[in-house]
Amino acid sequence: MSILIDQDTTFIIQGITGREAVNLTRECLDYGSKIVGGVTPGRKGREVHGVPVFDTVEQVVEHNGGVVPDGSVVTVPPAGTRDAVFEALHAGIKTIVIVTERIPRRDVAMMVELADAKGARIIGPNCLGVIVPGVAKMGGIGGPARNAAVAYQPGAIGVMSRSGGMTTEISSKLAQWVSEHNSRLPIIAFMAGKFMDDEEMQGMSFGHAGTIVEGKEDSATEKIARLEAAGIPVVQRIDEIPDLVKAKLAERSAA
Amino acid sequence: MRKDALFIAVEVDDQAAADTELARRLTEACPVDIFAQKLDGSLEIVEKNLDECVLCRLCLDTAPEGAVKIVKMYDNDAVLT
Repeated sequence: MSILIDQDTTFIIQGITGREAVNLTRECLDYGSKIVGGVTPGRKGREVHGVPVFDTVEQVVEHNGGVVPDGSVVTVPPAGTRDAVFEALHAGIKTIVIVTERIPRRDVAMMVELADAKGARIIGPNCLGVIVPGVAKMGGIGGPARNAAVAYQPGAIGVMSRSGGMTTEISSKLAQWVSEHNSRLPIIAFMAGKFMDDEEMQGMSFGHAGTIVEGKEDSATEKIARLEAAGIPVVQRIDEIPDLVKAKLAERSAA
Repeated sequence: MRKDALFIAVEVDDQAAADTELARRLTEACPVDIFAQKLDGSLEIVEKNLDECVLCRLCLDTAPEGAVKIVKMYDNDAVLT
């Protein structure tokens, strides 16, 4: 099932000549994605794995006969991310995956506000991307195409995850949403990093910029409590997930 | 010409290294600046950047076949193909 992207989705890579972008460009192309251009200011005229490079998003649109690409994968360094995203939004791009991490929160707030105003969606920052198994992927998710083909199989189960800040927010909001809407969606959860709640870990931080934990309500224990209070089962170990998913789907079929 | 770092070695045949146009294109292509041009335009391998290689193959695509070799020293000197 495709929600955000499908086999016809076209997108660009902003920062395409950078170290992260060159490989994810190849991986996406190998997977069947339609990359219609790349942008790195000052590098117009080059190619990266056959994808033409331009100085601006506007030039990509012009090169494609005035057709605005559906999406953009933004890989530019933090200091330039906001400008890159603004450029994409002003060009009319509606789905933006931001790979870059360590973007100032104020910049993120401004990007999200502008995206809302433009009717666009931002996925990230600090995001691996989006994949529709066997169809297309947008970003480095799954790695090389052959690995992605093994890791992601078509089916009825959707997975939404991102280590760190977004997951914290998602789990919190998900619990709240399920409670408020009496949702019948079959949702399960797994919470990594429970060891960080141990007494000997108090005061320590672990991970990268995207995994900052602030205050008691962000602890794994508190998040698990919120999810369970909302009726969302939380597995203890990753290998418990498949059986619980099957059980949830069976419940739904029987209903 | 060959330069070795801890994990990666890069080998460029001498004829290709002397080709200033190829040197320019390799310098442009590498995302981690492993290649540069000397004052006379010929190719220079920037040793301090060798281990930054992300195995993107853009240099292999840019150069004539066999002119540039990326050697994975961490993998029994396997050559990137």
